[in-house]
Amino acid sequence: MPRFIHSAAALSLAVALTLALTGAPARAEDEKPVLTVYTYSSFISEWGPGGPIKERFEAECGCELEWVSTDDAGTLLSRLKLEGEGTDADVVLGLDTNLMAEAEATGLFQPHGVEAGALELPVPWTDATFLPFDWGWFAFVYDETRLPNPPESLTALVEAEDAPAIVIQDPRTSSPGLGLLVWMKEVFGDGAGDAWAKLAPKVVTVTQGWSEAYGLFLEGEADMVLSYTTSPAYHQIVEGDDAKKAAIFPEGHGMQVEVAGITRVTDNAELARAFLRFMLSEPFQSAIPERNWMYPAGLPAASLPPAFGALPTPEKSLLTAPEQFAENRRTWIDEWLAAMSR
Amino acid sequence: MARRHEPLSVPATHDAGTALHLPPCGEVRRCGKWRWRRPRHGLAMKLLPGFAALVLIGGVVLAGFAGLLIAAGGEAADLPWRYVASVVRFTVLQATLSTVLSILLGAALALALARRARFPGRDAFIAALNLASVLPQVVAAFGIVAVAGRAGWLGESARLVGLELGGWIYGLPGILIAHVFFNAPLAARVFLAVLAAVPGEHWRLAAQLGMRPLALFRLIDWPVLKREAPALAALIFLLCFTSFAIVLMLGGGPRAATLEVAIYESVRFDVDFARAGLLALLQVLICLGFALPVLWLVRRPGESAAIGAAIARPDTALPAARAVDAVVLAIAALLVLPPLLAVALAGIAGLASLISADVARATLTSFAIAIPAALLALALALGLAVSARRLVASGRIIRASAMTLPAGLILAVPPVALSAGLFVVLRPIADPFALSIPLIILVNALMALPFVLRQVEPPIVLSAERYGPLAESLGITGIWRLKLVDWPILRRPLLAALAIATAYSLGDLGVAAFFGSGNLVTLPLLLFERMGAYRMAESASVALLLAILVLTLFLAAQRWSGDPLARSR
Repeated sequence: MPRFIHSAAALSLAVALTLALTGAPARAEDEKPVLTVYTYSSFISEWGPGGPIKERFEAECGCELEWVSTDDAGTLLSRLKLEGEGTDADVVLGLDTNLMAEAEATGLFQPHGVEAGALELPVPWTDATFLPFDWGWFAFVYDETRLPNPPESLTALVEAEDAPAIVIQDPRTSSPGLGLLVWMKEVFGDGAGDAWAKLAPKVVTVTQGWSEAYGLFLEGEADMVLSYTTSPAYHQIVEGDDAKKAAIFPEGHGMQVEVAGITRVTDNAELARAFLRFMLSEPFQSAIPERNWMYPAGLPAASLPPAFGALPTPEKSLLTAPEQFAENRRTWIDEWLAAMSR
Repeated sequence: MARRHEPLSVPATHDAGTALHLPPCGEVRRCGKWRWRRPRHGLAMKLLPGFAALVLIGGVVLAGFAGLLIAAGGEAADLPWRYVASVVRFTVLQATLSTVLSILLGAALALALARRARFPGRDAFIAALNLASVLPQVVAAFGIVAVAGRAGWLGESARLVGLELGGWIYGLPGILIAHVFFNAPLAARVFLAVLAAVPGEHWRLAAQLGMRPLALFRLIDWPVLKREAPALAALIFLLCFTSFAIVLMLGGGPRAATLEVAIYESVRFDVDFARAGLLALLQVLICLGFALPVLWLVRRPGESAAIGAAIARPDTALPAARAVDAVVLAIAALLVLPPLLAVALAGIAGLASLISADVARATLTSFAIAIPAALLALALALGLAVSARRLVASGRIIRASAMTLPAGLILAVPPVALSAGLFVVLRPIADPFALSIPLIILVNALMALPFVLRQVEPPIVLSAERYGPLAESLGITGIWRLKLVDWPILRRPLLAALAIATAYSLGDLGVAAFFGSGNLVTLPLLLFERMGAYRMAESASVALLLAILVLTLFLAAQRWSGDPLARSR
């Protein structure tokens, strides 16, 4: 018996060691400078924009771009905080307005120092640390063959007795979930709690992340799902399906802006700045619409793919200042929890 | 109970004409007087494999917590106690109900399968049950929704006859269905293995005495099921207590949440490691509180020698038993098969997307992680089980349970917190990228360990209880004992355990959260990435591929090891 254990243990140890030795990514030994960019994993996944961006940047920078990914934007910030001053990151790409205040508070970023020019954003952008690379409006997406008469406003969705069934994400675990929380707060102010209580019976379920919610919607479990105004473009371009629409509400729409920043400890500050400039140029920006399914922050509307150009857009954009958001998030979530459990 | 069936085995061994003629153990403690092997280096040395495994488990968990403590950097955590209390209350309710239902259905299912040793598709059915218990949570949840959701098959058929079922599944029902979907097959697998290990002599004698099915259940099945139930229940409770994505997705609202949700939130949005650490500690303590009483519940009736011949159960022909088994099998089939079918159907649309370099790479990466992880899990489980059986042999039943219990508690440590903690501890020592694969293997092995242990511990103890004294008296030790005594009994469970461990590792996300480097994409990760990129059909195909791989694994393990019950005729 012990013999057997020994051999099993030895075998697994040997396999593990072999893997450790062969599996470790070999560091390139050439002289090219390496720019390390932290991002979330779907950005560099098979259909994400990471691949073409790396290729295009390396073609002009005389450097190597190394992507390092964590599984989502939240983990990105956690990881950075864990690494502190010892981080290998030169650039962090993929934080959003929900996480900006926390990121700023770590003291790990430096002013980007890039003359951004005119950004294609529906709101003015003045932040000195973070630069946006893409953005989107949150919206309830529906299928017009299943829901011919969607509610015409957020108020109508909240108030109506026979409003459609919706599926949303949990603000405790998901960025769009937080986005809706802020959106509701912007529209209903102190009445947000009551609004949530009225909305609650129409909520089929509250999922951990965007994927599960969107999947449930596609399965027909809900008439509407919290997603982005750009979601219908995916169905149009990839699936040739014109029936998916985003409901545009006159009260305005909450927004998500995805940003990048340069770390304070980078020893490649010039290269990092070059990357941020590249980030707002056409070669980077043109990879965003059909690979990240968001609006690129540096590409004029005329240069968007036709399906994007044709999307209906809200009149009003609602974006809470990151500091105000960070200060109130806890209170708003508690209010949400109380209202949804009423 | 043990005393009741003691007369069964003695005449049986006689009648088999073997040399085994041992006084059976009556009470557990009396077995303690029986020393099978005179300790040469003292008990402590003999327990070395078990202690080594415990040190590894403890080390990883402690390193995780130490890392969180360092990351917290002396910040004090404040917990929203009322919120935590309400979450815990709901979690205890759902976990208790889920556990009770899973154990009941699992036991009934194991009995039905044990009695029906031959029916068409039995092997495939058992493999499907195994598959259900190792599917990634979100995949199973979508399968369940496709069947029982608002727009599911059930709802659509009800609509045909004018019934509106609506979203009845979202809430406690959905959570319970999903948890039973995962855990009843797990319970059935463990119960079936111990039922299969009942000595053939018992059945022969029962037949000779003309025992009625109820007496048979009371005297033979019940003691065996009762022996395994507490540890199994503890394991299932732990799984349900820490279940996360599925509780939110099927729970219908924010009240249906577990502590794991709060821990996830504190790592990703609060970036508050003090709070994450405190919540994780709280979760481990609560789970420990529920699992510890198991130590005192475990009563292992002693086993006596057996010839190891497979003899059919005598209670298969009775119409009443037939009817009961048919009902149980039908319930299990209705619970497990339609969602699996839904998963398969969903995967067909995107099949073409499987022909890609990414899928091939992810498959290889998954196996490169799963196979070493499974071997390590098996080695650790053997270490723990062998040490535990030595303790059982010397009458220290509670200590034996204490030896194997911590293996399960690793499931109470939230992966996201463990991942963060390990990252902090390892970073000063080495490049986390270089360590990512060994680390993911290690953690996957530890996560698979509780399942493997439930599979291998019973036969290991049995082998010693039945043949230990004989082997000792004949002077069979070392490799010969392994070859002649242990191997014939262990071959089947070990192969099954290896398949199970590999399957769990294949479907597990492990601690990749903080350690991914972009190159390290496993099949479950690919599945989630595709989902996150709107590619639902392509993601479903990855799920189908994963399911096919796991199913093949289980069928192969069954084929190689030969299902003992299928041959018993």
